Amino acid sequence: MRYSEIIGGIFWLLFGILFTILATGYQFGSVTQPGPGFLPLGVGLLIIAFSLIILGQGLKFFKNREAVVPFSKPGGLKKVAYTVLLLLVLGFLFEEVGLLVTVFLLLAISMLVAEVKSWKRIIFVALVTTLGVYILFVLLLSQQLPRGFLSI
Amino acid sequence: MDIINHLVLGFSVALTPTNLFFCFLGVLIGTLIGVLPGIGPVATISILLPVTFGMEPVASIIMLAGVYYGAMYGGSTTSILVNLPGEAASIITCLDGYQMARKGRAGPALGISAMGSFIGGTVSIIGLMVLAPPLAMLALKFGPPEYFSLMVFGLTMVTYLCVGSLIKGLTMALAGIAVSTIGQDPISGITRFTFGSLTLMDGVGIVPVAMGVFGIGEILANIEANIKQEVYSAKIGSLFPTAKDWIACKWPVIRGTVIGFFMGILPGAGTVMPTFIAYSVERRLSRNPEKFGTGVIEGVASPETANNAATGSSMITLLSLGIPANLTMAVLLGAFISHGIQPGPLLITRYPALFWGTIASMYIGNAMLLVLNLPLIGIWVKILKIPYNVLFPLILLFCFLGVYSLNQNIYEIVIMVGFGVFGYLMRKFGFEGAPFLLALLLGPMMEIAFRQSLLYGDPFIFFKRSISVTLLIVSLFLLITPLFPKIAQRREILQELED
Amino acid sequence: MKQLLCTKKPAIFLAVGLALFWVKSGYAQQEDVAKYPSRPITLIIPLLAGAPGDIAARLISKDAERILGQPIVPANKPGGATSIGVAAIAKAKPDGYTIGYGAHSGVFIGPLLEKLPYHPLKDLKPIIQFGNSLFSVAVRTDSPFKSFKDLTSYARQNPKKLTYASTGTTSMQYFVVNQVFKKEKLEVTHIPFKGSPEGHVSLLGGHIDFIVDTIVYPLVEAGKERTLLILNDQRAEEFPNIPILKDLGYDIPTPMILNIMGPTGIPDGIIKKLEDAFTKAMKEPGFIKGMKENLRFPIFYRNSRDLGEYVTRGFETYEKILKEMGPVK
Repeated sequence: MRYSEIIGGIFWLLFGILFTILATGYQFGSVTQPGPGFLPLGVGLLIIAFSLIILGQGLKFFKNREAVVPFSKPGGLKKVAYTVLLLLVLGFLFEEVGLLVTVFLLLAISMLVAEVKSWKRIIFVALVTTLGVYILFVLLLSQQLPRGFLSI
Repeated sequence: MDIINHLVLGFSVALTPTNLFFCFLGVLIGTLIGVLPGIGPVATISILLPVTFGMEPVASIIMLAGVYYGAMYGGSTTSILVNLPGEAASIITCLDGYQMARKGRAGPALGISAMGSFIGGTVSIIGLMVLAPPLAMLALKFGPPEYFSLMVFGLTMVTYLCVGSLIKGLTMALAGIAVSTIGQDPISGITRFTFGSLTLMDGVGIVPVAMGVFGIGEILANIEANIKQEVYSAKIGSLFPTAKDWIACKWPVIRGTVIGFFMGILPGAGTVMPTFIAYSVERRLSRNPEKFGTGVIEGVASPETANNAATGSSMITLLSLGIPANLTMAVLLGAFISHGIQPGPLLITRYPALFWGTIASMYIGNAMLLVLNLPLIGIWVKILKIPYNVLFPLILLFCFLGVYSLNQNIYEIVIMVGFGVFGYLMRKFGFEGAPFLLALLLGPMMEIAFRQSLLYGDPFIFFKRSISVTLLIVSLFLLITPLFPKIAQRREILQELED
Repeated sequence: MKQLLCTKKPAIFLAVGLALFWVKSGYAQQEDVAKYPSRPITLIIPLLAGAPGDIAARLISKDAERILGQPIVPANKPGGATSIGVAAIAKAKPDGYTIGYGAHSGVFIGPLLEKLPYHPLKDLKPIIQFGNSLFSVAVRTDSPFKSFKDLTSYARQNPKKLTYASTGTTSMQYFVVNQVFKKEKLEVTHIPFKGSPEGHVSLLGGHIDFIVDTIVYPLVEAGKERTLLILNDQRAEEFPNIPILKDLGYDIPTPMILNIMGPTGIPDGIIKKLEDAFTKAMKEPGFIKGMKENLRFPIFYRNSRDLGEYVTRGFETYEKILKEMGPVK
């Protein structure tokens, strides 16, 4: 599992450096009168230090350990990417197209991604849930959810 | 025997058919929204508020209070079943609750959290009834220096939240503090790390992040691994905790009650911080701390008791001073106001029927919740039998709607998804989410209190006030003691790895 | 079938996306002034539901919707110190079907501190003012200060001794007292708090000397807090003996107004209809009772034109004040 420490260490190192650079844009103040940049700068530097330790640990064990790639296969990663994309796209369209369409699409497409093989099942589950969500969220809990172009 | 007279009055109010009905309706809605991720008591009470305008004030307050403490019962359900915190107060329940479910012990986990909630909730009402005025005075003792020391104390608990590598856990905690600085800095008024986004001006909320890191992160990992049913295929064992479970949970429930009750009084600490503290304390005191995070029942019992114990005490400052201790209480204050009632020092004398009626209804409501929740366990565990490729779209959907309903803001969805990807990656690299969330929660409070305290012009102010200095000494003690055995243990592990 | 699903996935995404955008662009309706309102009106409230300002806006819209004959549906858009909600009002389609409550920090303060996607004078059309929210300077009852004069004279003799709480360095209350102290050349330590509850807890616990915030009636009535100064332009009915800023010779407008605004560009005929409906609503007993007895907000009327002038004047004053104070540190 040493790859994970190297990648994780690099991730936090980059984050730490970026955060520290951004933090210098805010006033540091002084130790007795800290400004808005005081905490971010300190935390940024500590993250850099800690990420170096993690990275060091990773490298140390790297030599005599069998490397394990933490990610499975590209097919799996593709599904992850589709799911994330789906949530984001629907998020941006949510207020325009409204609750019902969004709920239906979210369910149907994510079931496609998850390889539910029967179309009947997809349509059935998506329709029933859409109806259920409408009853639960709109009729029972009267949540403020977008009605969209259907105005329902 | 004042208290008996008051209780007689209270129950005579709470037991009228109308009030009983609204109490039941409140706890039912509370359970429901507790189960639904994202949708919390704040949103629900504010939505129900206009509906209650036409009702009697007592009935309305009884119902809305029921929503509040009812939500704490429901919150653990999704944490245990699918690693998705229903409320911020159930984040910590994910750690052991979800692992219990994977081992086929979802039933006992749900059972102990219902029982723990009942015990914590009931004891907390007794405390609210008997101790409200002196406890309100205790809350007033906490100024900025005390809050800073309390937050330091809370953050030392991070070390007990790390199941795996300590250094990785601490890195996550630092990252949590880093993320917590996003938004408008209340001391200087400038906005930090928002890149022009209005949504980020208020900072990153704990609920979207928790739902992302735990819920969405888990789903993404499962999708990638192409899990269809395996996760949950373990047979669902008994539905209720065994005698052994009960014995193991005796002290965690008692300690959870005490911790939840006392921390709930403090405005700002809310119902979330006590759950982290209660969990960490149990791990610290346990003979097998390494088992925490792998599905031990104490890890579910203590936080679930603590968050309910905090519900009663968090009403203290509202009822006796008119100052809301958290956001939910602020909305409840709105409910009082719209009925023309000002909660505060004069509430009990001016509206005895309302005050004691509400208290009595909380006893009844907690009993109702227990009766309501125990049979539900059988239904909840059946959810695990849904094929995963149908179940996860449903979880995604509830996350999506729940997080939007927080502020009716689509960018909250973006934040949740972003932290979902983050949680997924961190899972891959063996970094844990819990320290990140604790730091995200406490970071802003600590920073503000620190800078407020220094504005008084004395850098040693933290050591000159008794509560503050006590908390700092306890934190130091907690920080130092585990280091020694841990170092020894660590060496051993490293040795093993080298060989 | 499985293969089809796998290979066609990107295409499905694309098709759905395009379809949704088509729907979005095709969804526009022509409005007729004479028929207005022919469908429900959305009222954007930039606050969390249940906040006093939210309750007030819902209160008046309840009466106004009866007069207009169409429901007014409140939509809470909290966040960004109310600027998210105010932006949503400013950017709404100017057809009269989206109006909102122009919360004062999003109208007067936010645009001066941050780069926001709207300009309050160019993008917002004030429709009516129906009340004020009350802010005050308060001390604990056992405080030696019986009047605001006591406080200022003590502060003059003991610079940097007194501490006070506010809800942050970007709140209007803070700018107002800051101006007062500047005029009196006083040095008082400001301790900003994240929210009003934390401030009052600190005041009652003796961690600070006074607070600049909304009036917490239960604490005043129970004799725990004493109000020294009302930070509004108008005298508060409930506190006839407490001075307002003008009484002490400070001429600072404090536009903490409860109002209804819309986006610029709504046809005049529709503005008139809305203005008339809300003006009538202000005379309804339900509204008056709710404001006076429950919320304890002073009722105050300005019509669209007067409110427009008042908002312009207020915004220009704060623009000047903030420029003088320099960029916020």
